[in-house]
Parts: sequence; C-alpha cells; structure tokens
Amino acid sequence: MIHLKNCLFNRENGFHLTIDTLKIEESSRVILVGASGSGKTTLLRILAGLEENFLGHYEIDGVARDHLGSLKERGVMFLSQDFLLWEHLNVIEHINFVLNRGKHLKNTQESLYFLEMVGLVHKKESKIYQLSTGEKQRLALARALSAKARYLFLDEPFSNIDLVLAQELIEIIEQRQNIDKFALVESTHHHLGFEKETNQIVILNSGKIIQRGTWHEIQNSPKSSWVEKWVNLV
Amino acid sequence: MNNLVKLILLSVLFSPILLNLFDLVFVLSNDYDLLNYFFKSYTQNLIKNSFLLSTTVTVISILMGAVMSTIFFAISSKNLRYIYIMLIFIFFAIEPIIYLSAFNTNSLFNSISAFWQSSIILSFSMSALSGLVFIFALSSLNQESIKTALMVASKRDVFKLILKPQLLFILSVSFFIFFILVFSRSEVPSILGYRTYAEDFLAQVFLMDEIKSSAIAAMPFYLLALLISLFVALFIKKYHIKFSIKEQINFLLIDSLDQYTVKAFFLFLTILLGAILTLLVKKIDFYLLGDLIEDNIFIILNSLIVSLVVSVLTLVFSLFIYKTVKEFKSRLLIYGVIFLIFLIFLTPSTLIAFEIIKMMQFINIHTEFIEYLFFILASSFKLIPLAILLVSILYYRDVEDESLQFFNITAKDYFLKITIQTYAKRWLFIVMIISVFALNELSMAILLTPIGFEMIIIKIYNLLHYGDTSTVTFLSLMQIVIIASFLMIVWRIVDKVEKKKMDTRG
Repeated sequence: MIHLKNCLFNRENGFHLTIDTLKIEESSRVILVGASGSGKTTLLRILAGLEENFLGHYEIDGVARDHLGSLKERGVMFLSQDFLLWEHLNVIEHINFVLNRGKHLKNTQESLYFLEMVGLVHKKESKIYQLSTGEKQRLALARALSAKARYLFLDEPFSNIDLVLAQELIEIIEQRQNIDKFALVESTHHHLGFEKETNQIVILNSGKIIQRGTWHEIQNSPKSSWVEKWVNLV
Repeated sequence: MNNLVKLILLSVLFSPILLNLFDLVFVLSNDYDLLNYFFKSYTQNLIKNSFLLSTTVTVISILMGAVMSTIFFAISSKNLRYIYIMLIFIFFAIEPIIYLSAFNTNSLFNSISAFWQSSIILSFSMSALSGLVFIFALSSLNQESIKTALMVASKRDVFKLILKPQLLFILSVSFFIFFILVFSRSEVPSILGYRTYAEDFLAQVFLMDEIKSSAIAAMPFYLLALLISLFVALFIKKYHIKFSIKEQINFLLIDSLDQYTVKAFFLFLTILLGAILTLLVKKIDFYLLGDLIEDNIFIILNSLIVSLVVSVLTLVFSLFIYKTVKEFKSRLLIYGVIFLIFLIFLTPSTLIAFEIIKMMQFINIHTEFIEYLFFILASSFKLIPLAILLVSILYYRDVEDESLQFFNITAKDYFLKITIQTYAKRWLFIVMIISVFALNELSMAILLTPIGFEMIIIKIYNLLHYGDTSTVTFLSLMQIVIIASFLMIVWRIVDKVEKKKMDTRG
C-alpha cells in the first residue's frame, strides 16, 4: 500500500497541492479526475516517488520515505503522456531493456508476448522516429506493463488516441492487472471504465481533493458545480 | 527565400574554402611529386608529435570536462551554478600563452619534459571548453526518460544502455574537435621547444609564401575533415540523434553526489584560478597602471567591438546554414555541407586569410570599408563551424513556418516576439564562446586588419617578442575581466526578464 498524509507541495508559480490523506491499496484502481491545472499530474508524480520536494508523510508497503530504496527497488512504474521512449533503441529493445532489468538488450521469451499484446510485433525492429503517435503510445504501454511493477501510474495515457484504441488498451491493462495484481493509479480526462464498483475516483480542484468515491456515489451526490457539470457530461 | 537563392548564398558563404580546395586540386594535378613531402622522415616525425600531443590533451580535456559537468549538475544552488559557469568560462577565455607566462618561472613546471609542459598548458583552456560543451550537452538529455529507466534498472546499467549511447555522439564529435583544435595550435609547443606539424605548416606558409607548399601541407587537415564528416554522417544516419534543451536541469544520476565533494571541487577550481591570476597580477608593474590603461584603452575597445560584431555575424550565418541544410532533401548535399563545415574548421586561418586576400585583389577596390568588411567576414567565416556545432547542440526548432501560416504573424514579429525571447540565453552563450575565439584569432588579425587598426591579440604577439610581460599580462587580464563581466551582466538580465515573465503568468 502507498500512503500519503498531510502532503504540502508548492510550485514556484504559486500553485499549491494539499492532500490530507490518500491510500493506494494493492491491486486497486484509482482514477484521478479534475480540470486542467488541478494538480493531477503533480499528485501522480508524488505518489510514484518522482517528486521529492514536498512536506508530509509518504510510505510504500510500510517503509517511510526516508528509508526507501532506489526507484528500482520500490516496484513502481510511471507511464507519462510524453511516452519518454529512448530514441536510440528500437521497439523490441525497449521491452528487452525492461525485461532484462537493464542488464542487456537481448530478446527474452516474453519480449514478443508484450509486443503482440499491443499489436507491434511487425514493428519490432523499427526505430522510434519511424512510429506513429498511436504506435509510440502502445509501445510505451507495453514497456510499462513488461516492468511487472506492483504500482503502475498512468498520466493521461490515452489523451492522444481515439476512443476505440483507448478502450482496447484499457482492456489490455485490466487483463494484465488480473495476472500481475498491480495497483493502477491513472489521471485522465476520458470516462472509460469508470463505472466499475471496485474503481475509486478521486476528484481534484485547485490542488485539493474535493470528492472521492465510486462512480455511482459521485454521480448520486456531486459535491461541487464542477463535479456536477462533469458528471452530466460523462 | 527560394532554394536557388539559398544555394547561391551558401556557395558565397563557403567560397573561401571552395577556392582553397580548387588550389589543392590544381597544384596536385600539375605536380604529383609534391606529395613526397609526406614521405620524408622529418615530416612524419612532426605528424607523430602532433598526434601524440593532440591525443593526450584531448583525453585529459574530455576527462576533466566530464568531471566539471558532473560537479555542475550536483550543485543545488542556482546562484552557485552561475558562479561555477563563470569560473569555467574564465579558464576557457585565458589564452594558453598566458597560462604559459604564469607558469614559466615555476621550477617544478620547468623540470618536466616539453611534451608534458605543452600538454598541461593546452589542457587548461581545452578542459574548460570541454566542461562547457558537456554541461550544455547533458542539459539536452531528457531527465524523465532516464527516470523511467531507473524504475527497472540500476544506475550503472542505465548509464551503460540508455545514457552512454545518447552521449556517444557528442563525446565522439567533441573528441575529434578538441583533437583538431590542438593539432592546429603551434605557439605554445613552439615556445617550449616541442616541434609540431602545425609549426612547420606555418613556416611553409609564412616563410616560403609559396602557394604550392601551403596547399600540400594543408592536406592532413583536409583528410581529417573527410574522416570526421564520414563519421558524423554515419552516426546521424544510424541514430537520428536529436537534441532539445530542458530548462529545469537536475541530472538524476549524480543526485547522490555528496555536497562536500561538490564544495571541495569548487574550492579547488577557485584556488587554482586564484593562483594563476595571482601569478599573472604579480607580473604587472602597478606604478605604471595608469599609463597601461591610457595606452591601451582604444585597443581594448577596438578588439571588443570587433569580436562582438564577428560573433553576432557568425551566429546569424550559422543559423542560416543550419536551417537551410535541415531543409535539404538530398542526403548527399547535407553530407557535402557537413564536409565543408569540418574543412573550414580544420583549415588553418592563415590559408583562409590568403584566399580572402586573393579575393580582395580580384575585386580590386581598395577602400577602408572594404578592408574592414573582408576582415570581419573572414573572421566570422573561420568561426562558423564552431557556432554551427553549438547551434545544433542547443537545437534550433523549426516551428516558425507553421505558426506564421496558422496565426498570420509576420516573420519580423515572430522573430522579435517569439524567436529572440525563446533563444536569447542560448544565443548569448554561443556569442560569448565565439567572441573569445574571435578575440584570440591571431592570423586573421595580422594578415587582414587595415593598417593602423590594432587589436589586443596583435599587440600581445608583438610585445611577447620584446619580453614586455607587464603589458601582455595586463591586456590579457583586461580581456578576461571584460568578457566575464559582460557575460555575467547579460546573463543576469536575461534571467530576470524570464523570471518576471513567469511571475506575470501567475
């Protein structure tokens, strides 16, 4: 479990993020929703351990932030909306790097499996500049899933692709979640997969959590005008 | 601007080097025996000496540059980073001949061989240049993509498979360029008694004043240019390397470097610079300071104005060439331009100056304006390769055309309101680096400055022969202090403007 308590984060431009408490349970799915600039990405990065300059308590699996090991030892993986692919490696080498834990770039038994999962086997030798935006997105997802992390963070992962492909990718993620049992924390603007009762939705506004609960709970009693408008649009 | 006009402009820009190549082909086609020059054991020994010296200095500089850049990224305070950059810049701006005049009375220095003396002296400014290049190259790496790799692999493995390949290009190109810079230097080894090929080349050009000998002697420089161009072409084809600068620099891999090491290195650099400056200042006759200032103030101003005009012009030419070449469809044409750029870099200034003199004789208009114009253009021409390298590292994005079409902005407005404000800091960095080279360019100044126009570098060169170390040291120190102050003031202004813009955005 990841536990964030009494968190205060300040940016130079005057933005503040204040979180009283937020827990990410094992194998759960937490969806962060909010207007642009509400602090979704910042919160996601703090939860993933990528932002360190904040005040407050943060722990992963009972280990407090001062005693945490390296990023590699924490069992987290972060998928950014910028994909962050490595330009000098080809498609399959991205998966190989992760599966071999950075030791070498040779193919493993699972390399093709992960590429097949996102439909990129035919592009396995391609360089990054030869891929389309959708293909880059799928490669970034395959790379994130092949890490078999215990906590997977997705920062608006489907913002640049069509809804049909987004739905397909969500199904792939859910399928892998059933196998690997990772916790999934996702910031998003779309509404795919919201309705499941097991999914926790956290709504942010101006750096604060203004409501949390399942889709039905939020739908039945929206606590602000923004949430009401959002529910009606979804 | 249509392609034909661009090609014509490019040809005009490259004309001195094209004429130079023509000379070589012409000379060789008439007399193959001239190649025997390279089979003499005397020439081969000189080439061997130059290779040894260049390799040693390059390796030392790259290692020192790596250490300097690592320390830079480990410094947490922004103000301290400014001071650190300034410190490195000063090390770079000091002419090797000045380092030599600071150390030549030291008994420990005098007890080592001429080879190691030359290596140490040349390594000072080269290490600093290497540090500056590495700092800016490392800044261009995407820190977030490295963090992603660190989520699954150890720092060592991430360095090996993710970071190193991305740095390989800049490392190799830097290696070649530093090698060439040392290979073509003759003053310091010559004074210390270490014979090099560059010294012999200058002798061929100056003493014999013979186009045949100088064209043939320039051949190793051409061959090196060809090799480097091939290497760069292959690398670009294989990796499609792109650079983009991230404003927030915090290089993750050295986050763990403890602050005591950082402070210790900082202290070491400061003490070293302090010691060198003290050695230099001691050589100035202070009771003559008033006279020194009065006698040299116009020379200092002349040199500063020339170096600033030359560096701004070089930046403009380089941006034009970089942008035009990026639009070329033909790879052969792109590689051709890369070859010419390396050729300019490698061709000794003396040879370029001779081509410019020939051009002036051809035009046959002898006015003061034409003389100044050709001197400025020739100095810019020699510095274009370095500026292009810096421009490509600092990545010039091509968003202009699209924005102009979409938002109906005039090219002038876009340049004034967007381009300049976005790239001001990077361009300033390039101008500062180039201006140091422009200030220290001796051959162009000697051969092309109009009669009666004195520059610091010419006066230093002349006075060194008369042993007037007081004036020489004063002029060199003034040069360094003015550049450093100018850089600091402008950099702070740009930084303040940027900060003000951020505050207004809220």
